[in-house]
Amino acid sequence: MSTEKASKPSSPARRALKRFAKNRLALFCLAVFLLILVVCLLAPLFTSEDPAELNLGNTKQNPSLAHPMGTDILGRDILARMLYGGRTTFRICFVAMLLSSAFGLFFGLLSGFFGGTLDQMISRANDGLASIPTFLLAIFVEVVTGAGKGNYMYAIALALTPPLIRLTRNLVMSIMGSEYIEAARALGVKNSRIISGHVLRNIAGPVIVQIFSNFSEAILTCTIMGYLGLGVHSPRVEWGTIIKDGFGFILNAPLQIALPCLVVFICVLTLNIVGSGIRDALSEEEE
Amino acid sequence: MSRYFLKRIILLLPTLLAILLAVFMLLNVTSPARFSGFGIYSSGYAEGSTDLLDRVFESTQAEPGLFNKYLRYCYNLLIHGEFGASDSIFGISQEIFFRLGISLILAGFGFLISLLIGIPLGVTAAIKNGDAADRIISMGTLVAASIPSYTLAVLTMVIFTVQLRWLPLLGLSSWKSYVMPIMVIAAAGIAMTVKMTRSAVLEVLGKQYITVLHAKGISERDIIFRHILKNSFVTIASTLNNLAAQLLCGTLIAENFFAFPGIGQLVFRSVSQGQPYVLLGTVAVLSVLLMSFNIFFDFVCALISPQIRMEYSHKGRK
Repeated sequence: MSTEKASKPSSPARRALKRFAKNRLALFCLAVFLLILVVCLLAPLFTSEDPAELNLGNTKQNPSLAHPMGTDILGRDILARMLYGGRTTFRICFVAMLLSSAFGLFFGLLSGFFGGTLDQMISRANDGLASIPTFLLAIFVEVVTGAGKGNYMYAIALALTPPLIRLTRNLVMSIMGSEYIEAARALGVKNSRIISGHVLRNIAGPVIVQIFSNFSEAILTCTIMGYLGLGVHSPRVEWGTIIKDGFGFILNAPLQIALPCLVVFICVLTLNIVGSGIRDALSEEEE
Repeated sequence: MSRYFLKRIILLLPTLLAILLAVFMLLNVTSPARFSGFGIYSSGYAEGSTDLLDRVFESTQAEPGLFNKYLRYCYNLLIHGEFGASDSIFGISQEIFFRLGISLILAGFGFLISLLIGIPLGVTAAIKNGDAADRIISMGTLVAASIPSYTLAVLTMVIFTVQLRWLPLLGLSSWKSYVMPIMVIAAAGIAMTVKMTRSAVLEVLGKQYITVLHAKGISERDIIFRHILKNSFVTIASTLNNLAAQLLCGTLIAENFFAFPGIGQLVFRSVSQGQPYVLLGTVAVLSVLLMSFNIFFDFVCALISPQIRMEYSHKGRK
């Protein structure tokens, strides 16, 4: 986008951006998600409570002015825990997304660009990786690297990689026969230039959509692992852990689990709506 | 074609051995503190040793190499069907296969319900593309895919156990216990099925022969049932394999929400109670199962699509 000259007002990317800007629902969802993200990242500005501070005289409170989301069984402020927990959750998901994007693009490009035996090897290994359940992968990583450090982000990254490799490979293969690639080859352009200048630019749309949906997928998986007790250990918190802590008191303090669940749901839903908005904006170009 | 599939079935064995090798070695370099009671650490397993354990590791004392242990494990697994030892009163293989049956019931029903509800919804959404019906279904799918599974599990518990008192909360006591886990598994499955069916049907809808059929004046019903559905089923069938794998993963997780005695709970317990052979055995069984799914669904695709059949018979000859 930034490499386009100002004299060319309607590049495909800019037209897609314009279409996206017309999608009010997607814009609203993007705003909501960014709000949650920023509030979590700037946690100390929005809460003065310590997420790990116990207050046994003040447990299982309903939401009030002092504790907008109530307090948990040990009297800890849930809002503070959600804000600081959000930092951990977003960090885990972000690392997982970055790693899976890097691996996915790299192996997908290799596989699609060079084809042949390399493609066969990468594709078979990829099929194998895709057939391991995420849950098993996460447990395994936790056992091998030590529990409670949030290392399951590597498992999430591994689980998110296969679809991206497959997508990148298929996209690259579909454009490998195009005239512009052949022309570049005939002109003696180096492979690295062809990849960066032609291939990457032409597969960017669907790949961006996939990476986006990977992030919401990562949030779901990450909180599920936390809920199952595979999350980070105290004093650090993570959204899934907070929800698990609330489960025991679902009958006498339902808000303790309902509010955190709602936050996770809103995050994932807004991300998914933004993702489908981007997909619509990009796919109209092709028609 | 049969040659191609036979080749893939035979290839299952070396793949399994490779997976086992990786998992076995990784579990062995793991510090015992992280996996307390991990049988391979000699001092640990001498105390809790059972007959089976001794039999499995009889000769490992004579040839202490890690690779020899691995060979011995594979030998016992493939020849005697023994997965090593556990603290359970059942053997590991009994326990794994008993629990696998329960998990497969959950996943199987989830799969069926996903297809029965998801495919009609997806077809409707695609045919009414852009209409209110499509928008409602697509939005509903987006919402369903965004609800974390534990939230859904907690919601079903509150509604069906606490409020209505219809279903038992945790564990497996009667057929009623299956209902809530299946709901949670199917919800994710339906969302996935609708999404893939919709795009598969939309792809066929854009083809020129559909326009030709319309121009020839064929009735809308005939076009939908005889041409669109028939042709989109191939694409749908090719994604079923992914759906089955995802649902099995969802089952492993949902079992832990409902304390359901399936294989997912066994995996979790094997770690928290330090039973490495249970973990190793589950990995072996699950990977064989998932790879068999892969082959099975590819076979189904080949059965319904002559095009794919041609491709496979070509590959088989090579």
